Amino acid sequence: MALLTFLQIVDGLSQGSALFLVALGLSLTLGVMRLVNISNGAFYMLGAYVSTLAVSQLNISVWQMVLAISFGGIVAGIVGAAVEAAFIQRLYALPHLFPLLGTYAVLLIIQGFAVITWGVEPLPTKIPDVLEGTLRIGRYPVSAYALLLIGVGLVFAVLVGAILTWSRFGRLVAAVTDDRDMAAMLGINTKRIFLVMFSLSAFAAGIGGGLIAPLNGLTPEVASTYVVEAFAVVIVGGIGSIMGTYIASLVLGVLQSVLVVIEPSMAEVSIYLAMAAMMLLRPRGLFGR
Amino acid sequence: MTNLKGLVTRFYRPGGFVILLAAGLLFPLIANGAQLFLWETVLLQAVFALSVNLLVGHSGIATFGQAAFFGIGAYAVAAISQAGVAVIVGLVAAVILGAAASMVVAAIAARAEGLGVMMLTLAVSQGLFSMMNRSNFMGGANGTPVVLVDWFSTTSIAYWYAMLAISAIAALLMWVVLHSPFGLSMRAIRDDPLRVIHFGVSVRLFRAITFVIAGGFGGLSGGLFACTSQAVDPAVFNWTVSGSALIMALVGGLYSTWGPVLGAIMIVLLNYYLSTLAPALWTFFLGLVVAVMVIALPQGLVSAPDRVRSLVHHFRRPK
Repeated sequence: MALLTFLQIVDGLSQGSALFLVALGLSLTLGVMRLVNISNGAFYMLGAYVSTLAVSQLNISVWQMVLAISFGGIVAGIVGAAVEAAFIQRLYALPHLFPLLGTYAVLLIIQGFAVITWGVEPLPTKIPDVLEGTLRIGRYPVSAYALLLIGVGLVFAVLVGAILTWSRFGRLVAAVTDDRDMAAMLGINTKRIFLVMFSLSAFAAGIGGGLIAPLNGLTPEVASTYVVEAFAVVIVGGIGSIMGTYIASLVLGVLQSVLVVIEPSMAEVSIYLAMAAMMLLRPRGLFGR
Repeated sequence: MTNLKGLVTRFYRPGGFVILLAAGLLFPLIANGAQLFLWETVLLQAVFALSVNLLVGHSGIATFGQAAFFGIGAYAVAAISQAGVAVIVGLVAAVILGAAASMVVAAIAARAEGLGVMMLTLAVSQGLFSMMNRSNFMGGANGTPVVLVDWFSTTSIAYWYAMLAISAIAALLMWVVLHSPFGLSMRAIRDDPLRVIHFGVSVRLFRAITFVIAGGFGGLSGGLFACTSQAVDPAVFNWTVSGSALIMALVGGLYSTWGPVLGAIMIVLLNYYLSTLAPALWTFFLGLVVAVMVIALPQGLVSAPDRVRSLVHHFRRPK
């Protein structure tokens, strides 16, 4: 029993880490631009497809895999930047509903592109042989791939958190978040900040997609399934807070993973219950301002 | 002259409704079974789009979870039909349960604003979606059949007339709501909530009532969906159901009375005919349509004539 619980917790942490990579972008775009960015699900899917297709055989080294996943993330980031510059940029000034519908349009277009190019059938994915094995932590076996996921999630949380807290860019982002008009008047290029934030969101989601695809499978459908859970994470963690989003991702990931064993009917619902409860009791989330 | 013009403008929009209704009455003369089924889908989606637009368009309440009430209505009809009770009872139950569930959501949503309402309604519908997927209740993830015992066969012309009658009554009720003093207050709240509060109107109460009305219409459309498709599965709660109704309202015209109906006609027909021509293209195409509408025609197709007129005027203007 103890072993089972331990395995569930590790599984939950790794799923939560992948969820964090999608939620990170949502939290940033929602916090900085007040943009309900549904299209992040599409960038998640895009990164997954690109990195899966970039790897033609399974006996690749760890570095080849890292390269493939980074490539998927970079493609997602570049497409994200292009989409923001060409389309999303025009939506910020409109009332809430239009940005929502606009990002939904982006999701449909990218998802539709995947349907046309790669079909609706699931794409075969597999963990590279080198990461198939298990490591031991004390008495417990842990899948190497799960550790990689947890590691990447942590790196992103620390790196993005550090950049936003201590760099000049981070201070500009904070200024734009607080008062967009005043920041623009002081000579901050808000357009460019929005572009970078959107592209960064897409990049993180793409990395997350590439990492989790071998575990969860891959169809164009994932574009619209994963993103809603990510919204729940953002609400629970607090909009715009990296630490809040990270902790909420891990907690909800573990909660879901443990409930699958204890009470399967509650597994996915627990996320939305947590979301609704947080909105009622503490609308700004765990670490929101 | 002014009187006549006032009269004409006053009945201009219901005029469109009357023409549509007449077309609907004559439709079975020229349509085959497949076309009737297609247009039955149009009818129920139109009612759903009207329900969404009551919130997002006329009241400025950004809901993203209307699928919750659509799904509740659909399951209500399924449950009652399986118990062997008259389907019309099921449809009434769909309206009541949709409205009641909406009341609960409204009570919670009263604490939130803007984005918060959007997220909360999303949480409710998506929570129901995943709960039904995991449970054994009403067939769980596999869904459950709808058994129409004492109702017209869905392939019959009588069924078409029943669908038409129910949707037409719903649409008329919606028209009445929108043109009543209550409808005016809704729009006033949408445009300037603070000012309306200062008039002594309870904005919260009005918003809650709007939610309940929209929930009733959402439940009804879900019930009609259950009858027409003769099966219900958890996908009725999926957020993409809410998303597609939003798209219909946007394409037709968010701030107009009959825009959502026009949007439902356009989207359902486009979906059907494009999917038979090239199934893989639909999602991509729908995305393009939405993107173009958001940028070029945010007020929907109903505003197209005005847009064209003002463009023409713009280019004709003397230097």
